[in-house]
Amino acid sequence: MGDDRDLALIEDCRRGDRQALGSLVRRYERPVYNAAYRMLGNADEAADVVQTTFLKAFENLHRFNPKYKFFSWIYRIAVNESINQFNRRKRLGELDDNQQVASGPGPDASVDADHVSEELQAALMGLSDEHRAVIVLRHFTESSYREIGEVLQIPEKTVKSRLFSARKAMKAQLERKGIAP
Amino acid sequence: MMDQQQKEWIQAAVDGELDAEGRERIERLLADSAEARVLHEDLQRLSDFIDRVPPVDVPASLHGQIVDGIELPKPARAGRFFRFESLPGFLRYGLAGAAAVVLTVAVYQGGDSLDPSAGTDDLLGTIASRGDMAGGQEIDAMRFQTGASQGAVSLMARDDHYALVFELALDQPTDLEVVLPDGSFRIDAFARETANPASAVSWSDNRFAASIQGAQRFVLRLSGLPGQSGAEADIELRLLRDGAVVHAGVISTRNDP
Repeated sequence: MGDDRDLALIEDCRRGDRQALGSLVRRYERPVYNAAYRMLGNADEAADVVQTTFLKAFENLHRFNPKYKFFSWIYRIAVNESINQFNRRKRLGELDDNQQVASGPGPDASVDADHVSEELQAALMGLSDEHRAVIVLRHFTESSYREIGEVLQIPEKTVKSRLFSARKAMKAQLERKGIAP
Repeated sequence: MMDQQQKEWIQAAVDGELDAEGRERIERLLADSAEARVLHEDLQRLSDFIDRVPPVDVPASLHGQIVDGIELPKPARAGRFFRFESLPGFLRYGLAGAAAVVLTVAVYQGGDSLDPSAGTDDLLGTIASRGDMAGGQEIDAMRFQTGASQGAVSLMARDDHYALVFELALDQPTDLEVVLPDGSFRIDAFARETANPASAVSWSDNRFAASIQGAQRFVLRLSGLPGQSGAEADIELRLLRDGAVVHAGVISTRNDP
């Protein structure tokens, strides 16, 4: 990701430039939406999380420390918001084993690859929040170990061990569904 | 039989995270070990399976909804900010005292503000939920007062981890160091409740360092099972100003029943 370009856009946003705002949102809306969608398995909730994420990021722009990467900051808010939304849904009792994935058609519902996508999503939803987050950041935002560490604020060593156990749990989930990747 | 580190090397190879030396090491391991080859193949297949899933398309209306909902901050006006240490002494100590009172009230009200249902805009820490980070049984605590600065550190035992909770009100820039003995347990996650721009943190598995000024509440999550042998540890805490120790103490897991 272009850190310098991000910083320039942020500076322009701080001066009230709405075109810079549009560019910055355009740059990150897709990976943030994909991350939220894979964290939640629900298109409507993912869209809400993305809106909230950008809103909070820009409301707190004065707190952003340019020493860090903008995308690490925004992914962190998105992951936290997704987990909060997931927990809210659980508290409301809307999530049970039968509803985990069938909570409304996702944006890729009509595609042939949908079967793989659904099976993958079901396996993701069977993981703990921590495990789901590392898998999502690694595979759906293409973050490196170091970047995942920055997003989750954990040491790189913990990223490696957490990713390893997450994959082990993921494989077990898929095998339980009769899928041997 | 491979150890965990070798398994994680293989994973790093699949993820393209190895340097030239690491790649050579893995090639040797794969050539020598059938177990390594099986794991490499398993991880590669799983990774390929996940990567086969195409990215989802962003709803067309979302971009406009996001942008329309954001008001850009007004530019900061000159002279709006001040440095704490530039204030007259009586005002500085008054402010520090007020911060301490607020913190003390928060502490004795049970710290409910670490509520997982609260917003996340002030959670500049880990994804560990604040519900996980708060509560538990206090097994050791340390309180200090040095000049107009004061604070409390509590070690909480929870079902499957410890949490080290800091409540600090510091009138001057102060460095905090936390050191866990090798081979005990490790710092697994960090979360702070307030976004204090006058602070910076860094940590490794067994060492945490922060430069702090003002009022702040934060939590370190320590992995290791309470009550298990090997998880007993004396945790060293030091506060320094200009490199000189102004307070030092030890907080211990040994009181954990």
